[in-house]
Amino acid sequence: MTTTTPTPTPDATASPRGSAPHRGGRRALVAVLYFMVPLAVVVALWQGAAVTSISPFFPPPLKIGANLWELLLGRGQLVTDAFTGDVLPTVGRTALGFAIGSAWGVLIGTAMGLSRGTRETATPIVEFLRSIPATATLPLFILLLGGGDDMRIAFIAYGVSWFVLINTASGVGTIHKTLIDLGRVFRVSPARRLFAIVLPAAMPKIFAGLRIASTAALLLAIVSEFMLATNGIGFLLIQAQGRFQLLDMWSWMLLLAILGLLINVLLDLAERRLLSWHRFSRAKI
Amino acid sequence: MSDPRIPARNAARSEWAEAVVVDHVSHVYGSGSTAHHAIDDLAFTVHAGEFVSIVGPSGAGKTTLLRTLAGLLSPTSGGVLIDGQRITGVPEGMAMVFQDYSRSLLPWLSVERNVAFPLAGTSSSRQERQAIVADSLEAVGLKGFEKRYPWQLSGGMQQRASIARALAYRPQLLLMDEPFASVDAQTREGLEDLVLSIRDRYDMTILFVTHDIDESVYLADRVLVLSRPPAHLVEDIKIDLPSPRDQISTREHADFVHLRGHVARLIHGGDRSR
Amino acid sequence: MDTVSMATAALARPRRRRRIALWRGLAGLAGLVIVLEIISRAGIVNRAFLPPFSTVVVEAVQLWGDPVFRADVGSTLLTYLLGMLIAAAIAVPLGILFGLFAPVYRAASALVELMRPIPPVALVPLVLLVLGSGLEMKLAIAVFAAVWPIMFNTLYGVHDVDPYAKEMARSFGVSAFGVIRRVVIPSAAPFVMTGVRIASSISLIVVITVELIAGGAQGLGAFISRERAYGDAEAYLAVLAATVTAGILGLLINLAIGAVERRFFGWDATAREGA
Repeated sequence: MTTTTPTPTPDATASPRGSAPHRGGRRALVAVLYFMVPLAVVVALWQGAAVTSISPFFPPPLKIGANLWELLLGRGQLVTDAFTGDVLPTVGRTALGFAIGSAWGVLIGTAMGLSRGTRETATPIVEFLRSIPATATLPLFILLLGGGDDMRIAFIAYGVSWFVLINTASGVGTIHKTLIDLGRVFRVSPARRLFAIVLPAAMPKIFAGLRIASTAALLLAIVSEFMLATNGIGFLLIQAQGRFQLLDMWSWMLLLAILGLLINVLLDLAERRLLSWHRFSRAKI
Repeated sequence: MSDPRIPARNAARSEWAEAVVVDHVSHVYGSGSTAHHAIDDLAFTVHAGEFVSIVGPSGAGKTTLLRTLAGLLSPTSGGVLIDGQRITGVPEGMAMVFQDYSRSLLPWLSVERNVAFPLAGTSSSRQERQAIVADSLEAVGLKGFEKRYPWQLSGGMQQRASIARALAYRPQLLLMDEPFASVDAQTREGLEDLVLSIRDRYDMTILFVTHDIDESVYLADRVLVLSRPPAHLVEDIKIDLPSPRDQISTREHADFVHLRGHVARLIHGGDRSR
Repeated sequence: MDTVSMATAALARPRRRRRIALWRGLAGLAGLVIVLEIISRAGIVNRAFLPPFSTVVVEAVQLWGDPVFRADVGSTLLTYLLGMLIAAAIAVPLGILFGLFAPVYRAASALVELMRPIPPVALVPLVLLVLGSGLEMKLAIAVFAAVWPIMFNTLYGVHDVDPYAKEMARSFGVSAFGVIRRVVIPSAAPFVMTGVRIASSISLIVVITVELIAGGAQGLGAFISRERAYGDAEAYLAVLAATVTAGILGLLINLAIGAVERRFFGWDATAREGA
């Protein structure tokens, strides 16, 4: 019997995605222009209106920006006390609460996703607990844990965990049947099945949950600093409000918007690295 | 004279002539008034090294049978013996190629990592594994595509990768579940010949489920024709066509035309009798 | 076996499945309640931290008898409803506009992307100064929070309309505006509904939070904040009961919206999987 090796016929182009560099560059430029021009127009209008009229409530945007710069970077020092004493603690609480809450959410969500019995038993409990507005539990946390940082981090973690839990449960629970069969047919060990098949396949949904959770973490951190706080961006906001310092208030809100944007950008980058396969596969379909 | 073909991993065990015995297997989904009898009292034997096609009309019977053979499904009555042992769950030395290739390759792994996936649990050394992967990819004609990702491959190539993965496992028994159903006709011809070349190159028993009558006759040593659910064995046909098979000359052969017509009549004729 | 019997078999399974799920869920809830009751009464967890479940329930019922509490809840619900209506009135037309005309959206997207990440609650200090601590303040923030999910989901829904459906309508001589009215809007409606559902839970949370942190406001959150200030065990019980009530409210609203979705938008897969 003769052995025949078939000649490889790459029946479709296997070149990686991406258009010619020139076209891509121009498209990027147009996108940036679309973004910057209207923004510049609005800022200019606002600046003009604020300078001509005298409403204390809406200071000119450029002044807000300059004030923020001064508040954070100061004159003479590298960074101000406000930066180290308030901004950093807020960021730290956000990050820690997010990490703990996400880990917990992934753990419970995976357990719920893997077993239908667990899922059905736990779902009403989860649905009820998550209906309680997380922010409304702040007084409870304060009464239980006092007014310190561990209370705040626990509070943030609690609020964040629900988003991650639900998305993880959904991602793990809706794995395509073929992947499950794959694990069984090739006699893959249960541990390997979980870490090499189930979790990577669920990663897109888990990541979506992480994105929502990250925004929520910042929000919860700020809220936790509205009550019984001694530092933090939330604390600064309340302080500025109490002293009728509108310019400072607007500056801190600008900072919050920037922080929110930064978090989004960071997660976008992470997604590009971890989930590029998902983007490309879906684009093909 | 020694067999020039590449042996299966558990070659010492496959001295049994009867590789697979289907022992009066039935399977019913659900119960009571809403029960669905998928397969009913199926019994046949597959010998080591045979290429058997299982063909039948569209419906739940063929897939149910294949899943039962794979140990993914427990039949409601009867059992399957592989190498003389009744299976309870997925047996060793068996690999499967799934119909939905876009879902069966892991999209976050490169082609070579996908092919190496089933090997991670085995005791081979890294070099051995690399050699096996390289050999499997070459056997399916994907040499040079190791670092690509599934989304970069066409449907036919993805299915080749899927086959390479099954080969890397060095199974004694290869189950293929309508693997070329979602592929265009010309690609299918290439893939059919690929399966034949693999059959020559490796020492294994192949069970090939398909709804394509021509394909079933072209590839196999034997064709098992199933009826509509509750599926029973309509006929067990020996295919005595000359080897090596060729897409054009074999399909012109008088015996081929006669055999495929016979199978077609068995399927389209419907079964009024039981 | 014929196709009809096969189909019946396939349909019966989900019903049985749902009943099993229902029993399991009830068992889970009952189990949790029993555990909470026992560990509290037996003193395993300090009763000050975790009052028995029955005590909390009794307290919650008693709260309902208090007219001040009822007025607070009413204020919260009113703010929530008004906020949703206003937000929808703003966000749906905007979403349709942005969805149909990409250049308009691209021009506006800079502003949108900058405003979006601002946590609505962070606006409280500012809005307090501008609008005082009454209904308008709460409403402004609630509307700001609810507008985004509704708008983006509407936009997404308009984008997602099957182009072949639109072409088909045009080929039958339907005018451009008619296409919008008869194809785009019905197609996008389930997405709008999803946006409303998301906005609803966000909005309720925001309203209660705003009440919580803004001094002098009225509402469920304000009630909780006032009680917390007392700091004693009795107040803790009240806070706990009120928080649980907030959760039940949220759950009921969610269920109601889910039921509406299934009733009117059951034909669309996204509505079915969302609830």
